[in-house]
This record gives sequence, structure tokens and C-alpha cells, in this order.
Amino acid sequence: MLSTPQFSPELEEFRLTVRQFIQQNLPDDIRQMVACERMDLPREAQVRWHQILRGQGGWCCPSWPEHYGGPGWSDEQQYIFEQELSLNDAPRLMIYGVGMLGPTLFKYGTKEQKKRILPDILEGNIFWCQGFSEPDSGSDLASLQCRMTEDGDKYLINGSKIWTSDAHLADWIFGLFRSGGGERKQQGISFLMIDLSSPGVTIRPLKIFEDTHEVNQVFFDQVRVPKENVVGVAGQGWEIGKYLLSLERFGTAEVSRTKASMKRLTRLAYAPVAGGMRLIDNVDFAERYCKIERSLHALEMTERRLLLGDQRAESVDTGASLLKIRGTEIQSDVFRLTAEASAHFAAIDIARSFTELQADNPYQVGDATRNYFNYRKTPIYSGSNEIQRNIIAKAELGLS
Amino acid sequence: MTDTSLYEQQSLIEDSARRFLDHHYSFEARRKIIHEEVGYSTQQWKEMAELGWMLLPMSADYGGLGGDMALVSTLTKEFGRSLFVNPFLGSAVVSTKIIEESDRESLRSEILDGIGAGGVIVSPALYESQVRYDLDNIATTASENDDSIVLNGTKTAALYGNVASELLVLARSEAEHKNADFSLYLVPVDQQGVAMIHHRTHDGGRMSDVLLNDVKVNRNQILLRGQKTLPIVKRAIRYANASICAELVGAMEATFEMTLEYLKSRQQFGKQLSSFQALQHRMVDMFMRCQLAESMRREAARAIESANETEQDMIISAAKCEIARSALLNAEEAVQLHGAMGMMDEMPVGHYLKRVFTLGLLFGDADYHQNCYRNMRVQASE
Repeated sequence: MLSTPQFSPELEEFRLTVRQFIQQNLPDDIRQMVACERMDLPREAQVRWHQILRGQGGWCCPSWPEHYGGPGWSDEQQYIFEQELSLNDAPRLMIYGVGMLGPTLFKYGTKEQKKRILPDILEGNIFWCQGFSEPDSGSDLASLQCRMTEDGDKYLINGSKIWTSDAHLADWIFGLFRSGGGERKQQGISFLMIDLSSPGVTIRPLKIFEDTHEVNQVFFDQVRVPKENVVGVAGQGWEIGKYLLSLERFGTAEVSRTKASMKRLTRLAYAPVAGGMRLIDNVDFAERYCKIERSLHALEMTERRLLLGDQRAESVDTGASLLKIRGTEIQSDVFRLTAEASAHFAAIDIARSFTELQADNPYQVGDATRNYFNYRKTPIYSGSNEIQRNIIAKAELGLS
Repeated sequence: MTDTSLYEQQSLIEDSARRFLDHHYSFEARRKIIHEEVGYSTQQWKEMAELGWMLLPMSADYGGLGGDMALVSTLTKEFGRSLFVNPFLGSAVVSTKIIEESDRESLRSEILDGIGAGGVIVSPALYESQVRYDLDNIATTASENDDSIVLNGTKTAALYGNVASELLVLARSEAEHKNADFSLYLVPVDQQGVAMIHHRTHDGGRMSDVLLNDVKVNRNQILLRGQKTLPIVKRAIRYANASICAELVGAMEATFEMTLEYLKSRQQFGKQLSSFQALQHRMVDMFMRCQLAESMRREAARAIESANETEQDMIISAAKCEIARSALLNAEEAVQLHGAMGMMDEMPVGHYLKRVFTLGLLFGDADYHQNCYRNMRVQASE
């Protein structure tokens, strides 16, 4: 791996503190699941790790200011923290509550909402999921139709949300709902929080072809939601949703996660092989490996330049799209190469062949092939890479 | 993350270079200049020297401005934007960095003073066509007699040999063993036995083949000898490549901007070309390659200033191969997106393609650096 420029001595000291804490406190069973590249961690494991970080001065909510119980970190500290989580095989943070809803409520929430909702996110008591896409509204998100109508002091919700990650683990959902019309389809959308245990909510699991259950369809049939669960005012949802998605700027490229995946691939590549010809000695493999390494380095330096450089404020929007596109492209390349690096072993469906997923399998990369299939989702989710290109074309290049 | 004073210095250089080039080196002016005999304007060359540009790559120990690649590459990025071709790379960059390392004090300061003032142009005669970019296997020999040294061989790609007063000739002792001693000589172009064939390059630049036929040099023409010779030359080449990376990035940015402008102005099927999504996405891909290349340009500059030798070697090779490829791809895309207009000599876009193609070949092309990178990676322990 090419080394990257150091931050200031204080920040590098901070990095060491974080690293040491993770290495000493991350439970081994959780570390193993993450080292196998699993995203579908059981809720119990996610909560357990969240609470360990909670005990460390609110590290579970790295982007939160101190008065909400977070550590009050700078952008650089958050960036370093996220890197160290990845490089030490710690789980991703509980993104929907911690990374998205919390900071959105800082800006748009009422006093009552902040008081009611933030502590449970901080403590890891309430697990959130996010409802944006609908069966007929994918890339064209603003065409969403899941209805929200007034009914006395409540709203009635009818319709469904789809591709809802972790809805089967979650207690609550936030999302965008159609509360009215307007000249533009972006009007008449509201941002709402809904208790998933409400009568009329049904969750249908959707299995992805890779064989795991991460996403769901959530149905709403005459679901009654108190009016105090609207964030901002009714009709302001599109603006709030855009703000919420912009908060994910450090996450979408998954650069440091991909670096961790590269480290696993590197172990395979340099492992001694009978006959003396290591994988890295195969010129074609080595070339693909080097290409990924170079691309990832360029992306990492771009991430630092756009997100932490002098012009960080101007470059956030298109920076996030660029990073998402290239990040997920490179991530897909790493997973494919890792799967192929295992030769015949890559053909075996480990999860269905052994009693449990073995982190100590001969190749030490978990089920690389499953990961390869699974991570085909990343160029599609969170605004497909085609949509991201539309965003750059419009926002940065002024093309329309 | 950035040092403010460095940032300010970069802005000053950028502004002054852009002003200079906008004023003196418009695309129309350039078309005339590159067809003149020497291939650049000697008047502009003088003004460049007065602006202190020749001193930018030079170490402060020898009267230069320190040679900080963050500053040099700011300047050469502007050269790239304007398709500025001139002897800067060969003389002020490569030759300077090599001569700085010579321990012949009086010779060293005399030549560096000349280069710094712009009055002397020294052309590096390092490469030979039969070994492509592989300096370890050059065939030019230096055979020592009692009173003199005789050089024999054929060099290629001596940049602006047509206007150089001196050449830097890399040779090896005649001994058979592969790791024979390398040495480097300062050879006046009019020395007996030196013949040159001057060429025009596709980007309007100049380079020369140098034939050395029993060229007798004396000992005080030796600039470098012994085991340190080749590493010094290679270090200068890394430095040159960081500078080339910046020129390529400058050319990429200009190409991108003019293509964007073109798509916004041209109408077909009753609407602007820029409204077609297929074209928009290609522009976005060009944009992303520009952004990533810019990051790698800065990374190459950082490596020159602060990385250890191995790390520097890898980063420079990574940057050169990625940037050279991206620059070429972007230039091809730019021509394509201009349609038939892209093929016109009167349009700048094709000239950017010629420039990035040609520049990419110097001091190791993309394949060469890709190969270097891979070899280093394979040999490294994980």
C-alpha cells in the first residue's frame, strides 16, 4: 500500500489513541464478521459495539457536537476515526440514526423531537432505517407516491417503501412521503418519522441474489402517525431529504473500507504457493492489482483534497458524487479480484457448505465470491452512479 | 493542511504565468512560433528568465529559488494549459537537476549561472533508441586513454539540441560487465566528432539525435562518474516526470474546458449538444479524470519533496502512468466530442492531443512506468 501524507502530530496522536482503543475493545466475534466483509451484522452485535463506543465519550456518534452527547470532533478527527474503524475491522456506524437522522434533527428538529429522539440514538436503544425508494420511484425519487393524509391530529399513511435496508432489524423508519401536490413534483413531500410497531405496518423481506437478507419492502396500510412526527413543516421534505443525504459525504466512497479489503487481498497475493509462483508473480494479476492500488491512492488523495482541503465547502456536493462513483467502481474491482484470487475455492458457497462462516478458512477472506456478488449493490444504491453523473453534469458542469 | 506562504507563492506563479502566456502565447501566436526555425520565441525565453522561472527548479545553494516541486509544477501546469513548448523541461529542469549534483565546483556554477540567466541551454543526451527508456543498458561508451576519454555512440531525444550549446552525455566505461561504471560528460555541441540531426516533434517541439564519433573529451568535462552517476540521473528524471505530470494536467483542464464550452454552444436536432445525457456522462467522466489527475499531480510533487527514494519512485511511476493515460484518453474524447470540427487544424483541441501524446512519451511512457510500478510492487514485501 502506498503511504499517505501524515496529518499534524496532534491528529496522528489522536489516530493512535483511536487505534489502540479499537484494538483493545473490539470484541473478537464482531471483528471476525467484519473481516469477512459482512455488512449484515446482527442487531445485537451492532448495538454491543455501539455501546462500547458510547462509553468512550460518545464516540458512537462521531459527527455529533458535545451538547448532544457526541465527542465534538473536527472534520479531520471524524475522517481519521472512520479510517481507523475500517482498518481495524470495526463495524460501520449505525448510519441511519447516528449519521443521518441525528444531524438532520440538529438542524430541522423541534426541541421536543430532539429531546425525545436523540438520547435513544446515542444510547443505541432505538434502531432506525430509512424509507426513500418506492416500487415506482427509484432513480426518479421525487415522483414518490406513498400517501400521507390528514386525519384529525394524526396522519394516515398508505403505500409502500422498497429496498429498505435493515427494516427487519429496525424499530423506527424515517423517510419522505407524499402529503400534497404542486407545480413541481418536489413540492408536497414531507419528512416523517414512523414507529414500525404501529398497526398497519408490514415488512416483507427481499432476498438478494447473493443469498442474504438486507433489504425489505415496508407496507403501510392506514397507519396512523402523530403530527409531531413530521420534521420541519409538511411540504419541506425534499429540502430536508437532500440535506440528510449530503451528510453522508465521508462515507459513500468507502475508501478506507476498500483499503482494508485490499490488505486482505494483499495477504492472498503474497502468500507462498507450492512451486514458488505466488499470485503476485503472475503478471496479469499483478497488473490488475497495481491498477486498483493506484486508482485507490488517487481517490484517497482526492477525498482528502475535496473534503478536508481549503475549498472543502465548495466541493462537497460534486465531491460526494465523484467519490461515490469512483469509490464504488474500485470497490467492485477489489471484490471481483479477491474472489478470482481464490481459484477453485471461489466456487464454493462457504455459508452453505460449512456449519458456520469460518474466518480461519484457508484464504482468510471469508466468502470472497459472496462479497463480490453482494457488493454489486454499491454502484446502484444511494443514488445510482448514473444519477450521480447527472448530478455532476448539472451542478458542476452546468449541463442540462 | 496547506502551508499558507506556499499557497501564496503558488498563486503568484500561477497568476504571472497565466498573464504571460495569455499575452504572448495565444493559440494564434503559437501557430506562428512553432513553425519558426528554433521552435520557440527567443524573446519570450529571455523574458521567462527575467521572471526568474529558470531559477525555480534550481537549488538555493547554487543561486536558484529552491526547486520546490510544488512551485515548479504550478508553473508547468500553466505551460500545459497553453500548449507552451520550449527548452524549459530539458535545460532548466533535467540538466539543472543533474548538474547540481556534480562536484566540479567551478564548472557547475558556471553552467548553472548560464542556465539560470537563460543564456545557456543544455540538452540532456541520455536515451538511446535501441533501449527505449532503459538507461541501465545504454551502449554509448567512454574509453579512457592516458590523456583523454573517447566517446562513441548514438543518443536520441536530446530535447532542443538545436539550440543547446552543451550536451549532457551519459556513457559507460567499455568494460564488459553489466554494472560497468557510468559517467556523464559535458560536451559542447561543436566539439569535434559530434553530429546532430534535429527533428520537429508532433507538438511543435524540437529534439535531436546525437551521433558521437570518437569524441575526445578531457577530464574536466566529467560532471559525474562512478556508482552515483545513474542514481543521480534517475532522480533528475523523477523530478522531470513530476513536472511533466503537471503539464499534462494543465493540458487536461484546458481540453476539458474547451470541450464543455463547445457542447454548450453547438446546436443539433434543435437543441444544445450539452442536453444529451450520453454526452453529459462522457463529460462527467472527463471531469472526474481531471480531478483524480490533479490529486496525483500534487501527490507527485509531495513525493519529490518528502518521500523516501523507494516511495518516491513508486508514486512518480503511479502518477505518470495514470496521468499520461488519462490525459490521452481525455484528449481523444475531446476530439470526438468536437465532431468534425475536432479534426480541424485551426481548432486547438487536436493540438492538445498531439501535445499530451508527445509529452507522455518523454522520460518513460505510461507502459514503461506501469511496468516499473508493478516490478517494484512485486519485489516489495507485502
